[in-house]
Amino acid sequence: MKNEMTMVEADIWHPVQQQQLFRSLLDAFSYPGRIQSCTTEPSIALLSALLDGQTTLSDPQDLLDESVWPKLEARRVPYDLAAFILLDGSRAPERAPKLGTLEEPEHGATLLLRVAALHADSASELRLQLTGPGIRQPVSLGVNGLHADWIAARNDWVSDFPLGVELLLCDGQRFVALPRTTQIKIGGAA
Amino acid sequence: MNAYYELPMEDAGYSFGFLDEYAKKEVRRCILKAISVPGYQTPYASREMPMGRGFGTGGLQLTLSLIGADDTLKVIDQGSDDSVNAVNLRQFVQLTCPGVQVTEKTQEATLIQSRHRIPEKPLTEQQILVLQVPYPDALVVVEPSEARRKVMHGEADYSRLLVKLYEDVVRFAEITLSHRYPTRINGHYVIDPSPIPRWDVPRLHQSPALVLLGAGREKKIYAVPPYTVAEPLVFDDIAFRVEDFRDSNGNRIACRCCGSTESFLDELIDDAGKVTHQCSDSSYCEEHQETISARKQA
Repeated sequence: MKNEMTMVEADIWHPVQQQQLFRSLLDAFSYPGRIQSCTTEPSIALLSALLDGQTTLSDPQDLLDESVWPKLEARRVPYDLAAFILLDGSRAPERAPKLGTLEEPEHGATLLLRVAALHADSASELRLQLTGPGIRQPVSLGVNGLHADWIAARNDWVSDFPLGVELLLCDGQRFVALPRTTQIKIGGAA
Repeated sequence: MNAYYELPMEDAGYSFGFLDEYAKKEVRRCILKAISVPGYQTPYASREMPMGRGFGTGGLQLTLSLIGADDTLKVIDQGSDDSVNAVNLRQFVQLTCPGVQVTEKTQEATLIQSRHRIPEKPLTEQQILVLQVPYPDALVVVEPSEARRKVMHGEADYSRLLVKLYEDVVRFAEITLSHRYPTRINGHYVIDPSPIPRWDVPRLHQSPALVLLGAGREKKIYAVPPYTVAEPLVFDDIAFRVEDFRDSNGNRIACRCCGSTESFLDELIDDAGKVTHQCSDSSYCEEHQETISARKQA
């Protein structure tokens, strides 16, 4: 019985686990820059909590194991058409993903970027200053293993609000959300 | 719903939270987009619920997609935990979500579903407020075509809505909207904040708690994220004002039960035609009565 319980707890495909994952996602989007922890590898866990047959996923760098695709149920589509895109954050960003339209900004893509490490305050390769909805006092976020061009590209993609993209940065155990409303500046706290 | 009602259990039964997992994922994806584009009415596939549309199905679908066994739920209708709509929705959640705690105390709840009021007690970061919305679009009074309203929202073009408010000022020397007051979120989208009284509108501004609004019949979800600017639509020279609860002598009317002079009041008229006032938020009123009686005993 005890074995069964631990199995259920680690199973990201179980509805109970997916509900908890979604609540961490909800906190992440409500309070951008707050790092959320996750019991398993977050990029796949978050995809499992969000995707089903009604939505689309693109994995241009083949980061996903082939065996995961059937469980995700999502339709495999090219980069330009995908609602969700999984990418390696250490590589430079490519062309713009779907940004939505003025009438339907919700069609802007959600990008999951795998990075080496996320830190709330310790020294990191890249320091970001965040302001915007959900942030009472400017928050700083440290990221290791994110290509430096990503922030400039993302800031360009979200410059025509309401159009834009959402970023989810995921390291080995934690993740953080950067919705399109968050203003990101590169540099440490003043 | 009568107290003896049981869900028809078929072989498979119902999953936790009544909705199937696909319906929940759809709502969840929409919630995240709604937070990312504050105030934008995100369309979603609203499911049939075992109650009529217009009875809070939008709010209920949000609640059921959010709720987990460790949540504590409070349901209010017009400020009261005991009115028919609130009792029915609460019973339904208890029936379909085993393990969920329910409460009437605002501070104990992690999830609050409400119709037409925001609790008097300030909400915290640990809480989520779900509001039931009958008419999600603030522009519907000036533009009948939804396609055109979507363009107007995208362009943040609210000139015709401002003209409507201006006409009110010219005719009545007062903006005549008592509830559903158009409110601009994060400097772009104007939302219909559901039929909350004007009194509650300032509570949306920089709220520590996430506010989610769900319209089941109109199939829309929108959000006011925490710590976000929410400004009621006004003119530079005419300030927004909330309901005035002063009597003819200029004194603030007190609640007849708890004596509070700081809450939103309901006006009651008894059979003899006598007008009295009472707190609309029943949980706040009861707590205030308890503190007063405790103070008297001490």
